[in-house]
Amino acid sequence: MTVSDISKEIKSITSHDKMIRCLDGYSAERMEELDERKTKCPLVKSYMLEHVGETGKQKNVTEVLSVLGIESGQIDENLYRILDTRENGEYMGFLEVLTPRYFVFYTLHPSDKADRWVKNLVLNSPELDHVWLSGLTFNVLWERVLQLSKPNRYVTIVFVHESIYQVDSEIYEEDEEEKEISLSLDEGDMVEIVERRASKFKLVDRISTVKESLSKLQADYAPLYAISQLRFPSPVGRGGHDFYHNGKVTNRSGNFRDHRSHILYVQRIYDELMNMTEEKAWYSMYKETVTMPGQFQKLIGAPVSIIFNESLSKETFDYWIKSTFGRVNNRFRLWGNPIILGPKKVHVYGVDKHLWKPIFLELTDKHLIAIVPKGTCGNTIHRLICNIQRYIDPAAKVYIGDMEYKVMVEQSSKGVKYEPKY
Amino acid sequence: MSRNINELCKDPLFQLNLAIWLAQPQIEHFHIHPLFYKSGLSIYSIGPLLALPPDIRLAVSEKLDCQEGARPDLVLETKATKKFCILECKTSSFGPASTKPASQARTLLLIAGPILSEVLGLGTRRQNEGILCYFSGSNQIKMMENTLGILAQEIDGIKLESGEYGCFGVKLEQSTILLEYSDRIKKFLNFIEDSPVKILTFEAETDPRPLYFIPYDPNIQQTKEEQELCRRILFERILSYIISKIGGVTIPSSIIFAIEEILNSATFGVYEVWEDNETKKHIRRLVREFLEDIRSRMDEELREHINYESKRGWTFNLKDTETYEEMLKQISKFKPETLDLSKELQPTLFDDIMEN
Repeated sequence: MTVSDISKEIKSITSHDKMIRCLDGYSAERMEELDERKTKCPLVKSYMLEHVGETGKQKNVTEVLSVLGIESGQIDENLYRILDTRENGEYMGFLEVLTPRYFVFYTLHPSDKADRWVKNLVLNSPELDHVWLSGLTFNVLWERVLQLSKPNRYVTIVFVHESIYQVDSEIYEEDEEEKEISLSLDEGDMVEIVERRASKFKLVDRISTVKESLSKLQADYAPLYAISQLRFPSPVGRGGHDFYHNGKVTNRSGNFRDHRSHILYVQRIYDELMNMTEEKAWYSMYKETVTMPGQFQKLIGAPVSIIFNESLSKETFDYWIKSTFGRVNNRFRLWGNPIILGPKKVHVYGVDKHLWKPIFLELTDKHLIAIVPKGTCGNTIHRLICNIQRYIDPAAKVYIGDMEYKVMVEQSSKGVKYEPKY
Repeated sequence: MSRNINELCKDPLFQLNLAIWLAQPQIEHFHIHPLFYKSGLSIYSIGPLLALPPDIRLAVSEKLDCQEGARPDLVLETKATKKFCILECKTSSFGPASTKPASQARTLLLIAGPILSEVLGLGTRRQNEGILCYFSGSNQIKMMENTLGILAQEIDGIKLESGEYGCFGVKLEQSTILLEYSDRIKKFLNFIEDSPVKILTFEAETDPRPLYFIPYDPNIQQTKEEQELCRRILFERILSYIISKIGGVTIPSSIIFAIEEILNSATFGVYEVWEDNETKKHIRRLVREFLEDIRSRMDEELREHINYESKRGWTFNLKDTETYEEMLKQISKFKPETLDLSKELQPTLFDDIMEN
């Protein structure tokens, strides 16, 4: 199927039901091809996205897209056909609006094209971001996979940890920015030789085997905490749904309805987690009026504490600070002027450059503490945790106030309501 | 790090921020040991203006040197026991004859007494119990407690009741900051741990201060070194606010920055509660000069897009993407540390004109 065929296919869909039928049939065909090891067309991919504007003040997503030259043709109340007028009038996929805050983009385009398109969408709009699933979140989702799947099913887990701040390699960081979304395990011929810890590997085995070994392996080798991709096996056939750390989900099953159900399930957990994070962590001065003498200022909120499993070396700490706050384009997408308070301690009263919201940080060789003023999307915290696990310390422990983040994720995954909002 | 940590322990802004951190939900013995939080104390109010009820004002009139109202630095509450802790931070102790601080202390002692519930607007008298606590360097607390004892006796002498009182001493011991307090405080506030408590551990050559919730207070006396750092923190916070507002704007747009809005965002709203006096004018002047500094360091062409109007504040006109990107680039490069942070600001004849 050519790009033009995909575009025509998307254009022809006129109802929600037709989209489901089309993607369901398409997924079944791809599964047959996968069985024959002859994939002729790209797989169905979904991208979980978040509107990071202040709750209640969020623009309609169609307005956000239209600023970027992307037209949303309404199919039904919550479903849009996405036409990118910048790319020769090409239809890119479907956008399902779950709530004013969350939506999913479904596409048939090949991974490299779709990944780049979604990445640029997020980069060019301060109002949009990926749904960030940290290693800590994946570890809890893995528990759910154990509960949901038979022990003899196969699971795929990808671990990614790269201690990029262990060497002062500007080239490396810039190149990686390009590769961020599409995570391939294949290495080409042109691989830079650098000496630092970099773990990137894929584990495919029966659930029962992984269950027995994973926690022991994680205790012995910290990078195994940095799960960045996890497959939910399909309950209605072979294969499953591959969830990536940046909210991408590839359908490697023959069933689109089941694919969508899994996305909704994870989305609801994320939604619950986000509500809990923001409720606890947002700092604000709350004005309380009493009978006399007037308004009282009450400070509410809780700090976010990330405690490293191993202290960073002086060189790594220095390079982390230099690389983050000395470069316009840095991995953490932060701006700030570090106030040096010691050889391994700085304070930054800075800005999250993706959402353009203030964030105050204490960074040391042993921890990171963040103060997040109200209005800053909880998404900032999840992205921070993802990046710390991926690039600084895979086994870092995270607390929102005095509550462990892992416990918060567990509670979120148990708190999914039978009759959710979407 | 050449900073004098003994001096830092006596700094009222450090003490205030430390007290706020002690009340934050955090895990134990990691960053700052949350002694207040673990004992059930939470922040009730920062810098509230508390007034004496009319009958008390009449009762003290010409008998006791009191203020009509006072603004303590912090009020903490324990929800379970309905108790309140009124906190005031001081560089040094004072005697009963010190006019202003003693007058403020008498007022706060009265407020901490049976009238507390009424003063806070929570109900009638004797529904809540209060304690007045001073934060100070540990070598100051003995004299401070003596003074408070004498002032409480003065209140008793005119047949009124004061609340409980005591002092927290902030002390440096090797690489640890300790908090000392009397048994009286421990009992009243239900602290589980005996004094002194290790509240903060830091590494050699490192400044132990936590992130500042309240970065600046023109009403307090600080060492020159402290004032410079706190001024820098204030400027960094203002800059982060300006960058975040400009960064998130839709092009084309005009953004207006009013001084009050900037200062409230940089102080978590505490600017609003400072008394409107010369010091508040001073901080407005400080911010105005800071924004002038930012503007003056921009390219001439960009400067034309920033206008000041006395009633509105600064307007940044971002007419196209090019202006937006260049504006953001140049503001992001601005370093408050390169400014003269110890500069004394003198009032000018044009201050009122600029503000009105």
